[in-house]
Amino acid sequence: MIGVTFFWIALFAYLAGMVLHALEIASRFASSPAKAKASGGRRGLRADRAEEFASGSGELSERSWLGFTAALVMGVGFLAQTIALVMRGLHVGRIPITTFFGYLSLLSWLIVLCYLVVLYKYRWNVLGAFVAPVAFVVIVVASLFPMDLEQQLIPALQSYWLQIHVTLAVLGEAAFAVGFAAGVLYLVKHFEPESNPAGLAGRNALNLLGSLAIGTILGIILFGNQLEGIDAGWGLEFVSALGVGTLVAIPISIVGHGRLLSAGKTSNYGGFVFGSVVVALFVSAVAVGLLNRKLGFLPEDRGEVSVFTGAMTLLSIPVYMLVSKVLVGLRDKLPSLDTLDEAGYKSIAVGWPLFTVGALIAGAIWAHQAWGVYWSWDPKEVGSLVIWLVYALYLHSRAKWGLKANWCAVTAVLGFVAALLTLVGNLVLGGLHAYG
Amino acid sequence: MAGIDDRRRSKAGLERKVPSPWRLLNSMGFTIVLLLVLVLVSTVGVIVPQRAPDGVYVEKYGALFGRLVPALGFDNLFSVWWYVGLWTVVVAALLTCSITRLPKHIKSAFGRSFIADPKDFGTMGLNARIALGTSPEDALTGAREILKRKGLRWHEGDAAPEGLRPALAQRGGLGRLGPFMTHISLVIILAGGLLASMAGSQHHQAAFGGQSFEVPDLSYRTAPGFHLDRIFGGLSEDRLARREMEEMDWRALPDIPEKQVAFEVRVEDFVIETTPEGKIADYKTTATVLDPDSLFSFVIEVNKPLVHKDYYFYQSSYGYSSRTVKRAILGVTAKDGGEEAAEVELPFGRRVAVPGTDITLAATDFASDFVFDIETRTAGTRSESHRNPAVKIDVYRGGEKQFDQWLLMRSMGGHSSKDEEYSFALLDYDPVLYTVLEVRTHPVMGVIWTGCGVMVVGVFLSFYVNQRRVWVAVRPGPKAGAAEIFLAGASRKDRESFRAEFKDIVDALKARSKG
Repeated sequence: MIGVTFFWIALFAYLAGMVLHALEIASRFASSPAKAKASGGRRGLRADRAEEFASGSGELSERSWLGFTAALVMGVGFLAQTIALVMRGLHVGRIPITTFFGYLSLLSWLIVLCYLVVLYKYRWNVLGAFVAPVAFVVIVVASLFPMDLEQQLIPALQSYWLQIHVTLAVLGEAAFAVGFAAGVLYLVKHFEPESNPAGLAGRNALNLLGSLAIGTILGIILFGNQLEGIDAGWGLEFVSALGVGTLVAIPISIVGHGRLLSAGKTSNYGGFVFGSVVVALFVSAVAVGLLNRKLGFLPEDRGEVSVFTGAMTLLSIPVYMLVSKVLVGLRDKLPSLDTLDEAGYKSIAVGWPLFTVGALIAGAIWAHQAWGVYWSWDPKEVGSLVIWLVYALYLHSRAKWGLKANWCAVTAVLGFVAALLTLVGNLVLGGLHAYG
Repeated sequence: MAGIDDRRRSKAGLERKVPSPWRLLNSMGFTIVLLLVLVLVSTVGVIVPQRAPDGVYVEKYGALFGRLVPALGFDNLFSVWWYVGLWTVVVAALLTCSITRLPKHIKSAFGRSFIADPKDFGTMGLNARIALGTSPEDALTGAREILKRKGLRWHEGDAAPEGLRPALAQRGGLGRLGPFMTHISLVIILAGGLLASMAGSQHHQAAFGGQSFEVPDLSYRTAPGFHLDRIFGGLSEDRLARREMEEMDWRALPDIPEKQVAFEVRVEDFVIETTPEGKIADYKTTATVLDPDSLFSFVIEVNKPLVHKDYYFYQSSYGYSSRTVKRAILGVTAKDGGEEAAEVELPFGRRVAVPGTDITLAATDFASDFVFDIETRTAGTRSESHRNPAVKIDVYRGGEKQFDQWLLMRSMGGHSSKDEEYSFALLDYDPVLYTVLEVRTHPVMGVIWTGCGVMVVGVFLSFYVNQRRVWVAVRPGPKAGAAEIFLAGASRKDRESFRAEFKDIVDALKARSKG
């Protein structure tokens, strides 16, 4: 198979680069424990801003040989993947994007390209280090798909619009990946123990989603092969457990946290809220499952899934606690909120127009030429619309609130997640776009 | 940026007024909520299968949710009234926001504001005050040169008191119109989409090679009267059923008193091209347009529709005839055994002698999904699919027809033949292809493409064109022959690099005054 060797070189190069970057960040931990201790490990926004102002640039531009090596390794991987792409492209006489493997491969390549751009523009900034894992995950997912090169395009794809539509869309998504990394880092930087119960609801929601995500991923990794296929029915399962869990968790955390504060105890807020939320979720999920056995209001296997979900979220407690600890320490090492916001905005400002023109407008023109319908509410079309709307939401939120809310970062993160879900959606959902 | 409501609240004291619809549509907060609702609801529409029979939902989501989904309209989300309503609200909000903010944007984009009071310069984020050793005239010229080199357009204002001469250098004002264009383009697209769905028509037309079909004159569909009648006539079951019938068979159009034919189209041929490996390479329908005004042939492929007089013919799909075949391939075996089966190819309807025997066969009928009606004792096909193909053969001996018999392909062996000497089996057949063309009219596409064009321009202006402005004012300084120059700068986007640029300008001015 053409170019596959170079593809694997790239994959392992990205893995190595990612690991090296992680080591670099860990070494930063070790290098300034005094600084972290002095500020108590928790620094308010104001203290951060003050430091930025004083230092002038607000960026942590420490060079290290680890960081340099990491970037070098990523560059080598990038070259290897370029060779692979060129080889495949020459072999079929067009950009090889008609299969899942081809698309994901190109996406990861473009994300690494964005990584290199970010590294160049913002210097040895940790933002680049967080874009690399995204590229790695995408290339790993790509490797799971068959790598055969499809010489013969089916008649529906025989048009120059294929290159325009898919290439611009994937370019846009690669830029979104940078926005995603910036958004994640922004939220991490902003991760702050709240002394005011009024902000609890938002925190709860975030922690809840986090625990569900970790629980689900863990569960799928550990027990995935025992579950009978992925079915959209799961969604309602989660929603019912989520709803019950949230309703129970919020008052518990408000009351409990308030009690802790008044007792003068310094609370590990993240751990506390998370713990209470997860326990509530576990209880509610198990309750839903048991109730279902009695009353049978969900299809049978769904009831089992409910219990399973609850159990998995319980497993997520140790994982999340570890992550919390890391996050709190990491916060100090991150660039300023301004930089992160700017990096995120700029990448989305590049990506969104490309996505608009490529995914939506070029897609509509092509659909009109091929089928006579420029918009048919096909799952992938609506998925692209959802991605587009989420980023519109980001732009409007940013116009309204600027840096004052985490919400913008959340939308930036959700947008890219939506992009990835739309990508794999056609595996499951079919529709006009389900070619492969 | 406090919302309008906040100001209102503080004015009215403790009284909380509900914002008027106009204010609501105008507010950013409402837009954000609206977008969020659209995102969530549309996501559900992606996950939940659309337009499936109710049983599917019960099976997937259980008794409770399975009934809730169709009841709330999530089974046909993109046509349900409240979803369409949501988008209508979006259009209303887009229009309100655009109209309200347009004057301000135009003023900002094309207007020329000058700062005449030196104190006002100090209030700007980026500002500078330089004492120069040159005359005010010279200073102004110098500033103009430097700013022009930076790509900014220079405008001078009227002299102000104290001999102050203001000027403005700006560029990229057009970028301020980007958001307006983007928003208005969406209105155009959505409105156009609605009109197109009402005025356009579509129809599946199946045709065999050699068959021609009429294309009716559908201009009545763009008449407003037709649509008003449809809207006010209501969407009753009756009308919906008729509409479906329309789409299946133009000859059943109930709404026009006389059917008028625009022109005819004859399908000459339909082929499926395959690669040597057997993969599908292309679908090609060769069609001739039989219009007295213009007679021409065209090969219709996917992505290459035939267009004639605003009618579009798309290669949509194909099928195999259920009542005829090109040829049938039979196996003839001697009943007394010993002899191998001979294969005979029977072109449909033609008599072919079986070599080495005294019989002649003809394939005279075909059924793709064979069914035998016991009551009427007739054979036929149950459906269009080729689930149970069967061919009817006429068997002749010495020029006389002995009998006819249906041969089912799926029953291997076990065929009791009416003939004494030979038994027959249907081994294979060449189906007759027919093409299915999708015939559509697109009466309002121009509006939609205009909207798309405006959106591309709007998005480009919003993100890639940055409005930069530098205000200048020069006045004679305390000493003769010396001037004071005030500068202020503002940039909508990319503030970091503009800050650097502003610094360059200031440095250049300082250098110039020295040199």
